[in-house]
Amino acid sequence: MNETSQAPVEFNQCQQAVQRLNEYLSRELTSDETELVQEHLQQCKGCFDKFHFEETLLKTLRAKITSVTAPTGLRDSVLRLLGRHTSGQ
Amino acid sequence: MLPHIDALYRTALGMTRNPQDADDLVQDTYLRAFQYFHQFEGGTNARAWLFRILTNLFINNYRKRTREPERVSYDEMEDFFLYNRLADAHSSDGGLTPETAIMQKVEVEAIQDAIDKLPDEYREAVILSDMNEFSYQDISEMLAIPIGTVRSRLSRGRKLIQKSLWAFTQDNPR
Repeated sequence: MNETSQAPVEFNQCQQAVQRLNEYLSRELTSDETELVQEHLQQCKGCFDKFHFEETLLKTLRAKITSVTAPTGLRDSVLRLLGRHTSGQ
Repeated sequence: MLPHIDALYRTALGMTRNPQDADDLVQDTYLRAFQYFHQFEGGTNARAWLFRILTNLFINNYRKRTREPERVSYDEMEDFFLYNRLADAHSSDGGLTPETAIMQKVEVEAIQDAIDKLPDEYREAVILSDMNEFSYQDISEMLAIPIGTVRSRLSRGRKLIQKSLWAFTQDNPR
């Protein structure tokens, strides 16, 4: 009895955590909700692995894309614009 | 203000998908910023202010007015698409774990390709949120859309990115 009543609760908890995945990654959850998600992640290895992967993916994308930088020509053009502006033209 | 130029350029490149347009958009952004600098309130966020100018200029001058109707059924898109594919590969050949695989296999070209392929609306939300870490509130103001729309565009955009990354790694094995 106990087991059959526990299974849907577990499933429900996973579902509730997954529903909050995007906001969790974006740090848009309230502190109470963040705590609830983190509590679930401590108890559920399946969700922990998936959430951790999503966080790693996002960090990896962010880190790798920073190798794209403004071309030197653009930087020079903007500095010229600034110079023209500050010299009052 | 030039400390933000790289992030502005990356954002412009992601939004316009064209280096020349990105160059022009960033120059237009700084030109406008220099012109209106007296209106900028000290103590407020210069980075957010510059991004807001850039986003406005992009929406008004660069974004295509007409859009193609959506052809993908987003509701059918699976959560954890990339994790599931990589976990399957890991358990079948005992190779890299999903996290190691993603850190080693995903290159800048794959990321740019995935961002380029996103429909305009999703691309803007993903770039502002995932590349630049703006809050939903900031993005909602920059794109003039409700927060709920930011949320749904980001959710769909992230799923589409994962599909593209997976396709890219399959087509370009290293």
